[in-house]
Amino acid sequence: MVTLDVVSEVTGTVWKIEAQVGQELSPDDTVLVIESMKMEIPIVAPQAGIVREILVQEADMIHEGAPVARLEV
Amino acid sequence: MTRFKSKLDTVSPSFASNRKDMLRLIDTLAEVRTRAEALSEKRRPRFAERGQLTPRERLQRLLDPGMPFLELYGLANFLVDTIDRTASIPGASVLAGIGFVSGLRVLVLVDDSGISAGAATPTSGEKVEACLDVALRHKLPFVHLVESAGADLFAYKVESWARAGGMFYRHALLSAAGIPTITVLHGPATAGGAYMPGMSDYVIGVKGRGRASLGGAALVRAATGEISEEEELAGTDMHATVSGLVEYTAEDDAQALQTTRELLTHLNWNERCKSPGTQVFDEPRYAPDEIAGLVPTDYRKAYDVRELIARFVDASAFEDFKPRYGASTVCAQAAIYGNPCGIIGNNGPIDPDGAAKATQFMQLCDQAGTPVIFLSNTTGYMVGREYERAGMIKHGSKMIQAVSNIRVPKLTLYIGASFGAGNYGMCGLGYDPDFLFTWPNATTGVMGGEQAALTMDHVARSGAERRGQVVDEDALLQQSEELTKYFSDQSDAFYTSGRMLDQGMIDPRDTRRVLGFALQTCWESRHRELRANSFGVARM
Repeated sequence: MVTLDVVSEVTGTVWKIEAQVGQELSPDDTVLVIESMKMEIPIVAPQAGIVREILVQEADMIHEGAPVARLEV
Repeated sequence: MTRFKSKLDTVSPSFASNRKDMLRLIDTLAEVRTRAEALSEKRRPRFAERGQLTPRERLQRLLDPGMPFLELYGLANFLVDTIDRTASIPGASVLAGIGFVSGLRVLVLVDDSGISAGAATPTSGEKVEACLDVALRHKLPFVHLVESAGADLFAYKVESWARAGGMFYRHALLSAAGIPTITVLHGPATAGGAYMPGMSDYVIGVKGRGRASLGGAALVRAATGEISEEEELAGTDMHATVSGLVEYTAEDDAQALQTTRELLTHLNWNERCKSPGTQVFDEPRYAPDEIAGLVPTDYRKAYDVRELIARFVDASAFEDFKPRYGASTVCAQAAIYGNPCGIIGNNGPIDPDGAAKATQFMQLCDQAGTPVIFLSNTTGYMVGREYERAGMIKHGSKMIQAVSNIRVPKLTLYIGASFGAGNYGMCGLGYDPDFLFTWPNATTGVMGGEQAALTMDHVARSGAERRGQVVDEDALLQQSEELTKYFSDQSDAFYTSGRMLDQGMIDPRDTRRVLGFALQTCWESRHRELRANSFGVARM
């Protein structure tokens, strides 16, 4: 199994988790939304894959570069 | 150029809801815009009685039919005259813009004498001066159709009077720069207003209506006791035959405007400006109309600014500059009506990499002589420990320095949030953009209202904790609500446009036309040679 971590491009708070474990994602599909600097910034799948794990919870404070989900690609 | 492939779903619920919200704002703008005209039109019978054209008819007669006209400062004085949004009248009793007269690009100003006889509002002087600045910067002949009761003595403000002197100062600069100024006297120009014809290179007076005097009959009587009749004191005939203030006379408004059109053809104005040649371009592949459904009016909701760029640039094609570096700051090379331009947009707050990328991009545009368009939609430069350590201040400063010092034309459009220093880095008002327009959904300010309220909430709580006091939750909640409203009221685009913190509010779907016109205006001004002198032309 080849996996790929989806990382946050920005420091902020996890506002809404949109993808579910087991879900098949296309490139640019939203995994979750980060609230940062008063904006809702979507973190998207860099390539197609199946969500194997969501690594954060809503309201978690996360840093730029932190992995937020693991995809099987 | 690479053609952009849109991912926008134009039948999605979010598209429909965005479009509904945006069209509601556009309708508000349209309704507000009609107010000045409706008020002015009430005086139509009076104009007709005197054999005059209305101010809007004068403008229409002056301009070349079928050619574009870019209105400037159309919302000036909105919410300044009254804070009642349903009653405030925009425009500051002056119509202004860039248009074509006898094939020449000129700056036109028309006194809206249908409103309080054209008396100055608190913002009118500032609007006239700002238009004179545009004429000077873009080397545009300046035509002013004058009919004004002058200052309203009951609303006199010493600061307005003191600053209004700058109008005539700018007239002098234009004349010396080799940019002709023309005044058409349709009606009275009294007191300070008399310097408008006085300082103009050419004056065309309408017989029986055009008047200019330092003091009207009433003031003269108060000052010296002399009883005079307006026509012998100030009339066009007197000035054409005795004082020498008027160069050309006309029987009525229409003839005066025809004379103005002919006068401009005699200036040989385009002799010293090379022609841009025929532009070859393709229209965008994605309809500009879709902008209304693309952009959420709530700035918190992110969208890809490339989708917007694709809806106003030629062929929906552009080169995405370093798309994977500083990814939330988008830089692209494109063209509008065949005019090359660099575009900087925001897909989120500006981080250190984004600031560095934007800086490099601006310097490259300067090197190539390409104008830069700023699509300002940023909640600011990133804050926080890791960003400070990465040199956010250093990189943001670099970007602000580039914005300040690049020598190419700068065009700014407020399209969403424009907060804090992000506004500065994205070429806000203080950074001297050549043109600056706003969309109706835009919001500008030091920060969002909720951010301000939350910040002060934290300050109050930590202060109380330090002093060992208990926080008054009710008082704090009230403070937060008041502060949010206080900020939000001031950051609203209608409020800021009324205060002339931009040059006007546009329908987002007109973005291509407005930016294209602005780019062409910049191109012309950069390619025009002037016959400047050191003195300005004096009337003998």
